Amino acid sequence: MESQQIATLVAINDNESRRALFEAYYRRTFAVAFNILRNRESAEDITQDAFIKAFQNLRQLKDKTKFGAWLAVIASNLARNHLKREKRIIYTAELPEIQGQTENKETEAEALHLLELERVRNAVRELSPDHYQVIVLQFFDDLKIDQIAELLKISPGTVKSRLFRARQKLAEALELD
Amino acid sequence: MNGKENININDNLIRRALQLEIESIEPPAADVMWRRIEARLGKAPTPLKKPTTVWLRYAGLAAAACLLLVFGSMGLLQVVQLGSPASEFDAAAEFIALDEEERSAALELAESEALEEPLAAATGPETEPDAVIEKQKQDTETVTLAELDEETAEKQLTVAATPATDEKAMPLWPENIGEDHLFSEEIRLPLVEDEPLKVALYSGSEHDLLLVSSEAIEDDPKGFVEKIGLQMQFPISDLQYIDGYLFFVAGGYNGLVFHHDGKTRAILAPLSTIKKERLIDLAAPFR
Repeated sequence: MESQQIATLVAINDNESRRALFEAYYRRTFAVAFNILRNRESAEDITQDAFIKAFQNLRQLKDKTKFGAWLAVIASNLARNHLKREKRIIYTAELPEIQGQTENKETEAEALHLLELERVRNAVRELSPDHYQVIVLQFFDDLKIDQIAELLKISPGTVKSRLFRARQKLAEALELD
Repeated sequence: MNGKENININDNLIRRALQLEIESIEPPAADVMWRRIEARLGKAPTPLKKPTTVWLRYAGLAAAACLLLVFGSMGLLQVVQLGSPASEFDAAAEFIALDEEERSAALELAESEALEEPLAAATGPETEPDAVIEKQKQDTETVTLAELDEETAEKQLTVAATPATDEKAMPLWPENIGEDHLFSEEIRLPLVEDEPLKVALYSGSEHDLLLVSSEAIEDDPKGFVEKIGLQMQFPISDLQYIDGYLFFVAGGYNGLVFHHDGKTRAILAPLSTIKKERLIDLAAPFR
């Protein structure tokens, strides 16, 4: 969905525009929650709560084109709080199957790339909620450090620090350091 | 390959890995989830396995609707009860406690016996203590809602929040909490009927607040918090005393307990990550 279209839908904020925003973002919002919680039922509740909270507080969103990133922050914050309340992290057998196995590879380079990709995906799953949050915002939403800091209400220095540590963990998985 | 190139490779890998992760997770059916969201955002509260504060926003209206439903049928009873005002109070107060089956039976009984013994169907022994009669009178002030249409009933809920002639007899809700939160409506939490709580919703520009009030000073503030959790179906955690306030977290949202005006009260900030310091600021004028 185009940025301007998102901003328009956010500005309208009626039932129809909410539905359109929901359909555009519910999949990734659920994925963000699930990646933190590793439990479908909890992720479903959190996704639902995140949309409700977002729709009820749309006026607080300054840059309306950033609805997706803002929603991801709400969902990941709710998921993180949920984990704190539960005081446990549930890793279930619900992990999705790794796609892109080394079958159908045409070259050795491609096989190596797929292997690295698989390692990074595994490493992403092992990230703490704080680290996962900044990684998603930087690499999925393409936000700048300042934008992430504003959304998360933390200093740019903290964002950089979290990003550095998150990348460090991912790099360890790839044994590039 | 230098360090910079490594970082670039990592960026692409991370981006692609995140994309694959998100795409690989199959979400639940969108329609089902949307209907739930729509219901919680919409006009009427829907039964939820995990009620949230969105439900609370509409609880006041739901309470008014319930009162209309229950006491609308009482019109018959009131018509046939031609006794003193006290008898109306007694009858109404007793009627509240009846379940559906008993209510139907009481209606039939009242209709058949009303002309002869208006009080017989609905009151207890004539020698009830004064305190009970006084309470029944208070309850009956709410009963008058039965005679109102829905719009008036909603207004009446708000009016009920202002002090009556006997200030001790009605919950005294302040007009505002802090500068930003204005009294919106009184809410009754009916989830657990034998543990009623009086709650008022305060609307603010940034977020809403709930003010929960007991009937009197609670000897056990932690028990009061547990009662709030029970009524709201929120898990309570992180109970701790700070600066003379009892802090708690209900369903992930901060709240604090304090005593005010002969009552134990709690301020809760639903759907908001309001900080403890801010809650203290909001509660300070009441102490």
